[in-house]
Parts: sequence; structure tokens; C-alpha cells
Amino acid sequence: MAQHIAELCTLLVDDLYGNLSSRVFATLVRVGRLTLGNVAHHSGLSARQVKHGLVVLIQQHLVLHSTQDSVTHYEANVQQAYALVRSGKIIKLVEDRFGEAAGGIVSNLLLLGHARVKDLAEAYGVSKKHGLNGAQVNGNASLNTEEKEKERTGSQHFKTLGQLHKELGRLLNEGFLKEVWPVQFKPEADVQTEAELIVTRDQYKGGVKGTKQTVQFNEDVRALKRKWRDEGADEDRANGQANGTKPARPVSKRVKINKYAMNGMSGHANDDDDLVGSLLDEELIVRVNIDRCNVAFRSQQLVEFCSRYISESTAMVYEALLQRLETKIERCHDLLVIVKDEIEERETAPLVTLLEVSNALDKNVDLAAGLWSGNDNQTSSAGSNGNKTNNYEDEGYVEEEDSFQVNGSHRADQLTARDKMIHIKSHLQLLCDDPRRFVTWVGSRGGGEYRVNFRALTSSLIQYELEKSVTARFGALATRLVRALHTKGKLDEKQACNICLVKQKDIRVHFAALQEAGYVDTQEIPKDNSRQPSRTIYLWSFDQSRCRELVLHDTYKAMCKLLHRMKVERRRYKAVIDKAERTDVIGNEDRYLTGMEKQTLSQWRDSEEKLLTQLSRQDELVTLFRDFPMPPFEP
Amino acid sequence: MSRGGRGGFGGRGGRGGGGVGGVDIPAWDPELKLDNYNKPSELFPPVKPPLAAPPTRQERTQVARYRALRDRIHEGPLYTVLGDNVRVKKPDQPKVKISYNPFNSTQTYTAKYTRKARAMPALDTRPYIICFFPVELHSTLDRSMGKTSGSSTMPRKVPRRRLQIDKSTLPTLEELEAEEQRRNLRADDSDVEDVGDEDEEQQEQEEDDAFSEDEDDENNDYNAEQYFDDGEADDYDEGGDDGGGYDY
Repeated sequence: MAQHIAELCTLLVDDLYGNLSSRVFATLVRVGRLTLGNVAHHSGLSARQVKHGLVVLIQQHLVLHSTQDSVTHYEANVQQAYALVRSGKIIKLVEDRFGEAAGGIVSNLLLLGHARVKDLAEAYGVSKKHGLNGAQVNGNASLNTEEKEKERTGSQHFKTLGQLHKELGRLLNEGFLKEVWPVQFKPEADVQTEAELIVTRDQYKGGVKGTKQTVQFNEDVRALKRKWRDEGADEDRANGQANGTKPARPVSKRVKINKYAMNGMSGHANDDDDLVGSLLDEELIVRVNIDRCNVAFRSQQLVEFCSRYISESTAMVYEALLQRLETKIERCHDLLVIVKDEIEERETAPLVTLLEVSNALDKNVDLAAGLWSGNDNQTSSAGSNGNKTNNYEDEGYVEEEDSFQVNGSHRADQLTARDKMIHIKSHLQLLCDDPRRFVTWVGSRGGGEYRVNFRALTSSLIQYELEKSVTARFGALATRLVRALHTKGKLDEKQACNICLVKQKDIRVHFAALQEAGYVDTQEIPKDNSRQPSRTIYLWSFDQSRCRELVLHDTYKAMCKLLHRMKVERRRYKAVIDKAERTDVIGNEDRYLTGMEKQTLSQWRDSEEKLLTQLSRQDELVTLFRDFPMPPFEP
Repeated sequence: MSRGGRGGFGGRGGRGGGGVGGVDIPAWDPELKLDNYNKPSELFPPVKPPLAAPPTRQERTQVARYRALRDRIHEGPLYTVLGDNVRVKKPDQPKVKISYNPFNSTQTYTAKYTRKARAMPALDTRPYIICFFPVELHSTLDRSMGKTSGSSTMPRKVPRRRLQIDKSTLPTLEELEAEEQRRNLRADDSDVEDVGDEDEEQQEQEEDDAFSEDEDDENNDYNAEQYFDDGEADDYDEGGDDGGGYDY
């Protein structure tokens, strides 16, 4: 089954970085961990080609490497390669939240892999020594480019170094960008081995004995790995410092970055000043943080889920709440933190207060929409603001009677602070009362403290998606069966009939089809040792995680086929595409392309858009099935 | 063979349709409608494929962003096309560089305008953070590092190393749509009207420049000449092997 994800990643690398890179990548995915010579051998490329290919891949974090005894092994980074398909979404997400300039930064960083802040500033043409440097080295040609650059500063994102640093600081602070350390280029297995070696050397010289010590040892190794992941490793590894005092949660990184941002804030008081001191460390190396983006995608899907079941305006409140929480969550699931049981998870979960939500809420949300306001005629139908005011004009007589609605519009900026709080509180109450438990009330500090149980919510989201796919493939009755099995556990045929209120013979067909596709399974329980079929109970069961894996791999396969299809389609339109990409045609399309050709081109663009849209929809499923679920508890 | 004790397998009578070997077999039910069970089913029955919903605005923007990024990677120095002429190296094979396929097409004049496919990434056009790469790749990243300084060749012109990024604003979906619409309109028009009005065309082009960012080299920091025309293609031949360097 892993072949599909391997193929998919290779296709993505091929689509973005071309044949040479994808060929090297495909070899690494297919064969596994290899040295340079072996890559050349297995791929049929020359050593020089392989070296160039590897450089590209390492720069984009698509290949990991580790050197031991002067032999370097390379390994494909499948996670990162898969994330290529998400690049469009990531850019859009950051653009929506932080504005276009931030979107530009993120798209440039996706283009570059990682980059030093200094180089980035120079490329943006805002670095301090920029004017001198460029002109001297390259003479006339570059002078021209400098002039051109100056001409178009109007449309440019950043005019000063301060602006660039401020934006970068903001993104770092929010976690969408992260610092790059050498340890991020190491394969997971090597990091593990190295951490084990160091921990053994420092703390367990006599070896690890007994189960109790093994547990402690594993915890120490995880702590060291956490430390490397969150703070970088170099100095620590030199000292071999891995003493027992470890932070429960990685906090130091955030503190450090916060510090950067603080500098940024203080320096940024005078915005127009071109020569503000370097606000961020110039040598800081940054890249896009995929984990953090996944957290944001999770919020998006949950908000959509909420708006499906409750209402738009409640969903807006929920969005504000989740975005506040996001700043306290670094990744959807942390494999380096073992959670023993639900209680521990509940205690460590981040909290958010009503006050925070109220501050984060968009001013234009119509808070009264979707809430019952004390009069049946007035139950607002979650309409937009414009509609609402019209309604009030029509039903003027109601306004006079109803004291609650006298204010007219209930947009957040027109409400008094107290009313706003009451409204938000009732929205949160709705979220608490929903059977899916979108939020949980914890205490009354800060006007009310709330927590989100992501584990349970992810599970119901997954269930929802699975049911959707079952409905599409097998019909509504099959979904009813699956739902019954999910809520009641294992059932035999008669019980299933009773619960679903259908005849036995009706459900047999569906069970058979579902079993064939792998969605449900039977378990046989013999009543005695003879195992006769007549004396055996057959129970039908539905396993969400198994089913999830099944659909996930189907999704990978479907994505592969979409990319293949794209290639085939492109070949069909190749002549026209090639013509449109000719250097003399670009910019003069109207002169050189005939009407027919333009039509063909737009046909091609449309069909590619359809395929890419479908690809990104499939990707949403993958995010849900692969990135959101948390690992099971480990007692 | 049989250990007996079972009064014959075919014995269905007796206890009112009891079943085989004690297992309850459901009686024949005409409602099950298994009438055409014996007929061969149609080999390829007509299937209506499910149609996906048209993309929303959000999705269209995402796709536009993905495409823009991809186009920029393709224009950049790291994109490579090996093409049909890539081969596994054999020592006795002569060194050939084929940039077109003689069986499919003849070389035309306009071929000089086609975008040159790069067989090897142009690595020396941007700065790298050397410590992130393994030692054996350092010489690939920076060719001056691997060589011993003893071989006194001509001092090479140091290429200007800068990151190539896009500084201009990304077009919004509205702009993209407007452009597309305009294009389609033009496509319809140009069937009818003859190409003549130079002024109007000029205007159209200017408008085009204003917001078509992805097809606009002027607006980009990427400078194609820098990669091809710096007379450095020869340096790549140090390995002396196949189809490396640039394709011309």
C-alpha cells in the first residue's frame, strides 16, 4: 500500500522540480537509505547529476542525510514531499490571516526551501548595503535592474528593512515560520540512535536494567529529542548535556522567538525609518513550518464542521476561539510527548478565556444571528447584516415591543461590551451543548474558561467523512448500519436489524458489500469447542482506524491518478502550450496566437484547474485522516 | 471415507426444510428477485460517473497560488528536464546532444524562441547555507571550494549570487478572472476582426502588463540571461560525462 504514497510523492516532485530531482527522489523512495554511489548505481544517472539532484532536494528539505564515519547516507523525506501539494493552500491561508505581504514571504520561502534573513532582505532589495553592492559588482546591467526595481517599488511588498523584519517576526511568533537547525536534516532513525547513545553515555553507564528503568530511559531519550527539535542541538550535543531536568513542554523556543518579536516591536515604533537596527538576527535561517499549518487547517475544518451543525455566526465565534488556541498549540499531535490517559490530556490541554475570544473576534460578526432572542418571531435566520436591517424595517412593530432587539443591528462593534460578552457566551454555550462537544467549559476565570477536546472532535470529523464516503458508494442504508455499529460496537445481524429498523434480508446485501470493500468485518465467536457454524455467533464490527487507513490509501491512489491525468492532458495540448511559452509569444499573445489557439489554451487551463481542485480536495481528506488523529494513549 | 452418522447429505425432507448439516438455510424467497441470476451480466454496464462540484472561489485562489508557485519554480534555476535523450551512460557511445527529435518534427525558425530546457540545475546562482549540506556535496555547491588553489586558471568572474524571489504583489482572483475573461473575449474577437489596430493592441498589452504577473518577466527578479550567457557553460564539463551543462 505504501507504493501509492511513494508514487504520489515522486509525481509531485516531478511536477515541481523536474525530471532530474524526481529521478533521484524516486530511487531513494524505492530503494531506501543509500549512499551517493548507490544512488547513482540504482538510478542510472552519473555521479555529477546525482550530486546536483541531491543539492536541489536537500535545499527543499525533500532529502535527509546523515554522515557517520565519513560515509553519508541519504533518505527521502516523504512527509515534506507530500506537503508540496499543500503549498497553494498554505500561501492562501497565510495571505488570508496576515495579509498579502506575508503570503508573499511564505510563497518565496516555499520556493527557496530555507533562506537566511539577510539574503532574503537583499533579494527583496531592502538590505542596508544593497545599493552599493549590486551596482559595483555587475556594472551596467545590474544598474538597469536597480533602476527598474526602484521604479516598481510602488507594487512591492516591503519598502524598508524594518517592515520585512516585522512581518517575519510576526510569522515566526505565530509559528508559521520556524528556524532551521542542522538536526532537521537528519533522518528520524539517526536522531533516535544518537539520542540513545548520548543518554546511555551520560546517565546509564551500566546499561538499562528492568522495566522501570527502561521506561525512564525512553522518557529521557524523548526529552533529549524534544530539546533538539525545539531548540537546536549543536551546543548541547557538544557538551552532551542531557540531565534529568527536562521541561515538561517545549517552552524555551517560544520564549526565544518572542524575544525577537519584542525587539521588533520596540524598534518598529518609527516605521518609516529606513535604517532601523536589525530587528531580527540577520543570520537567522527560516523555513515554513508545516506542522503549524496543519494546526491551522484543523481549525478550518472544525469551523466548517461547526457551521454545518450550528450556525454561521457561532462558527465565527468558534473560529476566533480556535485561532486563539492555535497560538498555544505547536502541532496536531506530538509523538515525543506520551500521554498516559484522558485525564492527563485534559489537564495539559491549553485553555482559552471568554475575554480572549471577545478580543480576537472580528468586529463585523453579527452576533445576534443564530441566537434565540426571546421572541419566536425574532429567531434570526443567520442572515447577513444587510438582510437583517431590511427585516427590521419591515417588521417595525416588533421592534417596539421587543426590548432586546431595540438596538437594531447586533454587529459586534455596535454592541455594548456587556451585551457582546453575553452574546459570545451564549454562542459558546451552544458549542458546549452540541452533542459533538465543540468546546468544554472548564471554569469561570476571565469570564469563563474553555477547552477543546481535539481527540474526540477529530474522531467525529473522521467518522463524518467516512460516513460520507460510505453513503456515496453504498447508499444511505449502509451508512445507517455503519453508524449503528460505530455507536453500539459489535452487533450480530438480528441486533443490527432491531437497531436500524430494517428487515434482516435487506441488510445482508449491504453488509456483504461493505465487507467486500473492507469497511466492516465479521468476528466469529464459537459457543463451544467444536466450532460448528450453527453453534457460532457472527458479530459485525466497524473499526474506525482501520477504515481510515483504507480510505487514506485509496485517496493516495486517486491523487496519483489525478496527477497522471494531468500529464496526459498536458500532452494533448502540448503544441499550443509550447507555443504560448515561447519567449517571443509571452507578452504578445494577441499578436501571435490565433483565436483557436487561445481557446485551446483556456480549455487546458480549465481542465488543469479542475484536476488541481480535485487534488486539493483529496488533500483535505489526507490532512484529516493522516495529520489530525492523535496517537492512542500509552498507559 | 465418511464416518457415517449423518443420514445422507441430500436428506432435506424430514424436519420441514431443516437445512444442511444442521445449518439453517433460508428458504427460497421470490422477493429476492434472483430471476436473472443465471444470465450473464452485461460486460460493461453503463455507469454514470459522479461529477465533482465546481471549484469555489477559495479553491480557485488556492489553485492559482499553486500554479504561480510552480511557474516560478519552473522558471527558476532548479528546474530540470531530462527529456527523451537521457540515457544510461555507456562508455562506447558517442557524446551526442539532441535537443529535438528528428522523428517528430523538423527544426523550425521559431525554435530559437522556445524556452531552453535545463538538464542540470544551475546551482551557482544563489547563496546556500553550506553547513546544512553533507561534506561531499560542498564542491558541487561551490566549485571554488573543491578545487585546490594550485591550479592557477583565469580568475573566474564571480556570478552575482542572489535569491530569486518574487517581490511584486500576487494577483487576486478577481484580477485573474478579469484577465481570463478578457482573453476569452479576445479569442472570440480575433476570429472576426483582422489584426490591424496597432494602437489598441498596444493598449491591451499595457493593460496586460499591469496585472498578468505570471507571464511577465519584466516584473520578476529572475533574469534568464544571467544563466545562459555568462560563458560558464564550459566549466560544467569537468566531469566530462553525458548531456550535462546547458543544452546549447
